[in-house]
Amino acid sequence: MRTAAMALTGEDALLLAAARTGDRSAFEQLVRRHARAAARIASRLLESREDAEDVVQDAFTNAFLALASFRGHASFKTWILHITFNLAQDQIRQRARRERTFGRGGHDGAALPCPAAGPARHAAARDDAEHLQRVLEELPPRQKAALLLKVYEGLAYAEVAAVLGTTPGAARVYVSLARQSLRRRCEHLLGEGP
Amino acid sequence: MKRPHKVGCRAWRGRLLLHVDGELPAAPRIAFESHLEGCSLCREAVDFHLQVEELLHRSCGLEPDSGFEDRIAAGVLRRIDAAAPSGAQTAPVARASRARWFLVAAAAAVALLLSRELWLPCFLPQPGRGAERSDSPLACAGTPPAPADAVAPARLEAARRAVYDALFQAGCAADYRGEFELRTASLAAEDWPIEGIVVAAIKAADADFAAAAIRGAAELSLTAAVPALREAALRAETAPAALVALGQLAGDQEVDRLERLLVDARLAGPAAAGLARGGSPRAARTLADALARPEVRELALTALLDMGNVGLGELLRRRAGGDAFAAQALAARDLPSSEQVLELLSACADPEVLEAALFYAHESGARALPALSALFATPRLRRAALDAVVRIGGAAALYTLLGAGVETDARAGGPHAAAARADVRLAMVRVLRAAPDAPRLARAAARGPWGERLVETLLCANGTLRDCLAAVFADRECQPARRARAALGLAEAGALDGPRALGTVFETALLDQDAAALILCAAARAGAGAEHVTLLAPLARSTAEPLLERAAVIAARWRSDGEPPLPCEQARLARLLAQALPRV
Repeated sequence: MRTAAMALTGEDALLLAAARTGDRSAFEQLVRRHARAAARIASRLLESREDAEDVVQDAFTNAFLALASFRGHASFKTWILHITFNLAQDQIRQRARRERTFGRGGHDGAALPCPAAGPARHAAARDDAEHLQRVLEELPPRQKAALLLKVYEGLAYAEVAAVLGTTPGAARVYVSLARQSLRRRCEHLLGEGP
Repeated sequence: MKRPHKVGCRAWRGRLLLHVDGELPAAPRIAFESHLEGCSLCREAVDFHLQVEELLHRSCGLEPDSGFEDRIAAGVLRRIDAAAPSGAQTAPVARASRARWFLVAAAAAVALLLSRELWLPCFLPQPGRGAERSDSPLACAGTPPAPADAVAPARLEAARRAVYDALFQAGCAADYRGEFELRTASLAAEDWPIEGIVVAAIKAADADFAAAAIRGAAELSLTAAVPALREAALRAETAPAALVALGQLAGDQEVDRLERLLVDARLAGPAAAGLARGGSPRAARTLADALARPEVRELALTALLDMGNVGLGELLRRRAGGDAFAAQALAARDLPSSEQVLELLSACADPEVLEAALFYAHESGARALPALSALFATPRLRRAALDAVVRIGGAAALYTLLGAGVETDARAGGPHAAAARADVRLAMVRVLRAAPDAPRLARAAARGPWGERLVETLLCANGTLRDCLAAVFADRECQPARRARAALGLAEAGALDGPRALGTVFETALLDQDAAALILCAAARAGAGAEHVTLLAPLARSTAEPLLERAAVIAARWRSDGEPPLPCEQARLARLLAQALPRV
């Protein structure tokens, strides 16, 4: 069951226990295990690879400094995603304030490249991907984060709720609203129904 | 191209997304999948969501490059070194960090509270969500919201309007909960505490808005709203809605208060509705007591009937106990219908109410028979329902049982089928024994499509229904095969006049030779001998010969089976045939 993943068990628990004693290599292992998931969320929220990597590093640093107070009610992955999400939101707010003051600045505007996709496929999918990227960009942050956590990270609603700091019911509503927006905006990318 | 609105059918909409996300537990998943097979609307909705998922996965430009982990790990370790030069001192560093965050958070909280104090008394006091938030995994590492955002007047006004719209519009919708969640989702996205807002909105000065919030609290089962609802019940303009909601949310806790309000002409309606919403047996008793008061009798009856089985059961129970007001109330509405009795009997676990319903069924006669017959297949209720049918009695009861017997046979194979058939058959015997005109009843039923079943029942009655068997045998309009079986039953019971039976062979032989042969055998068993064989004289030789051969075959079969219905008559029959054939 997915909900079982909420509990702190298995290798993460061992690594965490070691990291709490000051074992930096154990914490490094935790970083390597979960950095990719955190980066996926951060890069989608921030639409900038550099900013995303910065936020991910901050998130793991904060987590390391707060290890003593981590009670293990949620999984380490949920915890780190939660921190990443909040830091990314802070970044978005700061960026909004900057833009209000200095006008809209540029960011790289591209998500991290997908190594699995070959050049031909990448080119063919580029238009669709760009459109989808724009639609995702326009989603409210919580809807976007909930959708990404659900679809790309495969988290259960209870875990999505833990990351966003809300209830599972609200998480479901966010995902539902995000899907509705996608449906409205991406009709032309979807095949005909059966 | 405009696509249809793919949200599935209303009843299953809540499960659709959970199914797509693979979060539906086994039992509802199986139910939903079987629903999907027959529902194109839901199938299309599921397909659509899967296409959206595929679209998202197709755009996979999110995966970091291969050296990503190395970069992140190195960067994190560098930052940790910068924050805490000695890795062994992680814990003290964490405490210092937490203390720092606590100060920032406290400052922000004070700013937030101060800012909200300025406007919340007007409309939306901030409810506490501290406990919920304290469990957040970010309690030690998050960042507080920017105070500037919380005090922006435009944002507050927008939120106020959004909550108003959500409550008011959702209050007008059939699916309140779904509508409300959708409409308040954007507020939840901004961290507005929706449940607290509903409680606060109940106290709003705008009566329409408060009433919408009260309905919302009831629909959302917001028990935290009970104190606010009690306050709202004291306000003239919100009292009706609040009383109804209180009955639903507080249940038995509010029964006394609502009962007292039944005397208030202005609030009696909402109070009765509140009791009905509560739906408890105690509320039903309170409403049934109110039937004695003419000024609220109609309200109480309506509320009782709104309660469904609980209310109807209470009415029937009182009626069975001789309560004249309950009897009047039921009679005035011509209640209950056979469908209501059926539903009540099927769902009711209270033996007292069950007895009352069956008593009602007995009193209401043939009207209740369809409802009762539907219970024959339910082992728990079958005998009680059959008893009620027997008490109703008469032709209608007999035909109901005959029809039920056929249905029971159609479902044969279940573990209770044999027991059900036996019970139904016994009930038929009891109906016939109790009927003053049983022979006439049996004769009429034997002619009908269920005649075989009737004769079979008569044969199982251990000879107690000989007059019915005789009536069937004597009926020339009855099918010969049924008459023959009746003749055999009479012969076994020693109630057949053999020579007279021989006289009927002529009339049946023309229609059914097998039946005539059986009657011949029955007559032989009942004492018809060679001296009576002249009674077969009207038969043509071409008819008589095969008939007698058939009778001989039947006798031989009985002999070879070793279970002779006529063990001591075989020699007599053989002798009869030997003598009769040359003479005919």
